[in-house]
Amino acid sequence: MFHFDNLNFDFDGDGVLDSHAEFMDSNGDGIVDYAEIDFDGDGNADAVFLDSNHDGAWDAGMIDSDADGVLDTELFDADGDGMMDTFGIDSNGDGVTDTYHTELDTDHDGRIDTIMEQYDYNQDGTLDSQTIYHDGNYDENFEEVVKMHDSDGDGIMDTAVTYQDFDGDGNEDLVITEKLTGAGLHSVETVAGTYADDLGNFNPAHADMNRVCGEPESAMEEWEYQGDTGRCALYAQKFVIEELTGTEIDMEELAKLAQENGWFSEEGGTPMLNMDRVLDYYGIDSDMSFHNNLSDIEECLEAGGKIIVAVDADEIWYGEQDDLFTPGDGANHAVEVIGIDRTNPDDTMVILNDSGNPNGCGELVPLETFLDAWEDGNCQMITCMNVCAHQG
Amino acid sequence: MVIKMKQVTMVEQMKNNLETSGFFLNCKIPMGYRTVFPILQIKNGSLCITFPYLNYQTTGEVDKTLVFPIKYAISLELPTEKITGFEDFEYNEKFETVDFDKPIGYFRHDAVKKYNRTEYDGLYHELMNEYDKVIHALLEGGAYGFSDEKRMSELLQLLVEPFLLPIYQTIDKSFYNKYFVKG
Repeated sequence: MFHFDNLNFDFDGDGVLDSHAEFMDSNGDGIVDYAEIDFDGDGNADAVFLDSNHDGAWDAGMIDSDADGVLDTELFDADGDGMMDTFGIDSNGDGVTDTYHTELDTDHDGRIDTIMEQYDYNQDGTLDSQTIYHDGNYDENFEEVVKMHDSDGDGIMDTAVTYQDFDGDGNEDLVITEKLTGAGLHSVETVAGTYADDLGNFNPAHADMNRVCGEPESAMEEWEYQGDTGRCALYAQKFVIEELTGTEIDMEELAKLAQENGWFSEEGGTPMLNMDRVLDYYGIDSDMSFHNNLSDIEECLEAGGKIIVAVDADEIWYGEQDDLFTPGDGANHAVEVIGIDRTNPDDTMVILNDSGNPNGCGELVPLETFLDAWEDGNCQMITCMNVCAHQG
Repeated sequence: MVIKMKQVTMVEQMKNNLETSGFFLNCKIPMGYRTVFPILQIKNGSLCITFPYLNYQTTGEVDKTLVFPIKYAISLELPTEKITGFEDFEYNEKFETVDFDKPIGYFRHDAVKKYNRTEYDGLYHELMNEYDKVIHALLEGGAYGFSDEKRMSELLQLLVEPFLLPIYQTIDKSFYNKYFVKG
């Protein structure tokens, strides 16, 4: 190790050193990469700085914040921009750093726009909570605060609550609670499931089967709930494949296949164009069309075909509530139509295998409700009549 | 059974034509995205309409439907409805600070909470008719007065979610200045 320089100060000339600073060039490249400073001349370092990548800028350090002779506060450069932006504190003096404070200027305009505070409450070396203050529009107001924490004590931060103040009045205008599902993915927690509580389920024992179109009873055997995923179109295709081929399909393998081929993503779901790609892969001959009507569905079902449609699920699950609606129209969900039940001619029901409703096996939807929901997807329909010889 | 006859405006018909076209399908906009109020622009002397797309996520709770940022836009030239552009704003540097996976507000926002479904639909279709009037006036010289422009501005300011306004401003400042700036 090459000692670059030592500086000793006796400011009052009493023969006692008031301050001492030592600089080192550890790799001999002519650039100082280590500094140790004893501000009060007590023989203990009050601050040390390190340039670990030898670029001429300090990127880490330790300071003795309370002058007790112990270096207790870490300093480092979290974003690697050459500026030390983070300090870590041992808040209870047990020798373990448990609190980090970071200030970042992400747009490099000279103003701090992001502040992060992180805590390791149980001092096991893993962060238990984090708060981020974000000035996204760079107006010097932190309009977004995100608080993350480990709700179940498994050492992984799993919950994030975002507070947003749109109008800058200091009060939150929006609070969003999210479950962090790993690798940066997050799903918004749905509030108080009102899923289709009033919708019934098809029961052959209560139906006049001469007035039922399709084969709902056997189709219902293939129904599964999609849970908190965006896999509705995959499930609808899975149902059809299993009904037509009699082969059980593993959903995880199917999702992997769809992701690898770019037909689907867990974050974005399935584009309309890709709603038949899995069918094609499994050798199901299918046809996608728009502007269909009820008789198109009935003809297909009567011919033994299978049908997937895109609908506005909100209209099916939440009905025509006066105060619960969404502007404009558009399809947001794929379901399989497995039958039409005209047992009561005045109350025709469309029978769905709806993977988005925990009670969606043979879900009975009033015809008018179904038609409104279907119209929002421009009456799109995928018909599947048979299995081709080719597969994959 | 009662069949509801829905009055379809010219703008809504354009949207339907677009969304059932091969181009739209090939854009691979994920299911669930729906268009919000379109933007009218004059580009090199041609009238164009841009349909912005965003995602609403219903939570089942009144006035707690999550609204996500506008992520996609498709532009058409009028009257031909020729597609002139598609954009995914995730790849536009003007939107680099936007997290498209995070909601930015709730529907219904404060200004429209007093309107139920029927009343809101009424205002929505009145606004669509105002779009039709402007388009008709610009393309064919149809009647259009100050009161029409004022009403369209009022409806846009009422119905567009306020947290979407910065995005409208970024997409087209002229349209924003014309219809959203008060006073």
